[in-house]
Amino acid sequence: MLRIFDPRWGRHDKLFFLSLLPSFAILVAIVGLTFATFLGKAWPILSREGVSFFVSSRWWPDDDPSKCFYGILPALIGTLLTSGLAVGISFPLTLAMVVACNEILPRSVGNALSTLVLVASSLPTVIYGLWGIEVVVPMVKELARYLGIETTGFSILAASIVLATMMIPYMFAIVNELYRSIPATYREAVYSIGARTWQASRILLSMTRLGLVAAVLLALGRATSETIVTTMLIGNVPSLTLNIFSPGVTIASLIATQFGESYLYPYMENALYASALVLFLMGFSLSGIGMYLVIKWRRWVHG
Amino acid sequence: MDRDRAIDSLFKALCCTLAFLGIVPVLHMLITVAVRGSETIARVGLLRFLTDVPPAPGSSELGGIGPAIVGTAMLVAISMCIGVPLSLALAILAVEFSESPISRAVRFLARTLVGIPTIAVSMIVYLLVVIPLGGASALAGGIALAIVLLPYATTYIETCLESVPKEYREAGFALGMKRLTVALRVVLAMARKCIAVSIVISAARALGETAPLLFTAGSAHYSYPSSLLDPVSSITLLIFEFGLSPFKPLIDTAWGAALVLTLAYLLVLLGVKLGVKGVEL
Repeated sequence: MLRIFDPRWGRHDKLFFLSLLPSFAILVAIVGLTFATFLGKAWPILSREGVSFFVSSRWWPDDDPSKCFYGILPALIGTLLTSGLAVGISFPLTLAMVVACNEILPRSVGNALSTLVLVASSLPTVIYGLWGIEVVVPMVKELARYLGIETTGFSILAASIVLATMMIPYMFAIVNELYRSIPATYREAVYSIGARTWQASRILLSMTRLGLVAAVLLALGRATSETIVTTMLIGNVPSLTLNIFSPGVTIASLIATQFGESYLYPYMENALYASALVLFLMGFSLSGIGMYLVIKWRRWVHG
Repeated sequence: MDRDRAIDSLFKALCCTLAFLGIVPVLHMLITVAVRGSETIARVGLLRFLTDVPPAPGSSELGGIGPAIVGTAMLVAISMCIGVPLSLALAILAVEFSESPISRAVRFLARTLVGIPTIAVSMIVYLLVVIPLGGASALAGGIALAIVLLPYATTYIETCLESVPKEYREAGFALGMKRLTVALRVVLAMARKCIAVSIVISAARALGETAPLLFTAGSAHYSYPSSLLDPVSSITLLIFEFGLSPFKPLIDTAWGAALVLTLAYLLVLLGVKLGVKGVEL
């Protein structure tokens, strides 16, 4: 049996411990209720539609329970496409920033850049969204017109670009920490054999390999569950598409736009709770593996 | 060797260009917020912008964000009232009773809670608070924010408590102090500045969240709330909804609100920076 009391504690200490337990009970209740509710709410739709919930692209709300059908394939694809594209754009830029800050730019410029990035990473996402509507959406529209595509600009590409802008400071913070924690002896060794900047950066970056994978996974985890920016920019059209200039939908934006009216239709609320469950699982697995890799890397560095 | 040097120069140029490309959007965003926001506020007047109600959709007048500011203040205050005592108690459990399995459970559950998307928190609070209370309210929004900031505040405060060296605790025990006295008089007293900074950072997080409020706070942009159970607006919700509206005066108002929010954030960051500098230990 688990012993929550240490037998060596005095009566006074036990009382102190007990007085703190209600906070623990609340934490357990929050996490427990969340999972119980989501599983309970998701079950009716999952048992009704089975696998077709995940592989169908029909999103048909209907008053008649026998006619309505909900498939989240467009949202699934949209989520993966948007966050993949965003991380794909931001990853090389982040690496370049880390190398520039640590190996090329003078220390003062590097520090100024780091401070700016810190500010950027803490700004509310809704400000990124507003900036995206004003600046990125018209840019994407122009670009599409140049390529001969008609679009309003609200598209998967616009959402990805703004997400990438948000992900750069986030990834930079992780990768920079890892890069700086490489023991100084390795750096000295690399430079003492006459390596030039590009060779040194390549060797040092390759030492943070595990950390880089972790940063990508953590950024993906964050990008998939990001709601506000995607909802503001993706256009929210639940149709299956791989064209990045067309509007799309992600799981989070589907919930944000449909949940308000979901009580009007049978099973719609269940479908949205089930899609949130999918979002959970994606987020948990991505950031779980990511955190595991970061911890493993830290252990490797610190012996 | 010349080839080597050429590659090196090329590499440096490429890195700096890409780094520049990565940081330009953020700079552009900050400048746009400053320019567009101050335009709106200058046209309306600062006092009116902070106290007046927003323009009605379709009207050509400009307005203010008074209800959103009041709502944000209420939401953050509620979330702090719930979140701060809870996270303090949880952090003490996790650090000061680290030999108990409860300590490990607290750490694990806090990490789990971080992974729940904020939009899902909004759905949960909708189901468990909004529906029983019969409508969206400041209270429901505050609870949603508290759930979102709880794991962060707990983790920050845990780090603060852990930064107090073990020797000080042992000195306390050697003097015959009980755990409660050690926790209050030694650990919390020594880590107080760090804890204050953690609380400010958590409040800033609550201030900037939008998704947890979507289904809980009620988006009452045009009326001042008179009780905790009234629906409220928040600055972030206002930016989210007005930013997507087709009306220019509403979009302008959103930019003004974005400037107010950004300035509040910069103020907090500056305060934290000064606070961290002053932390003893």
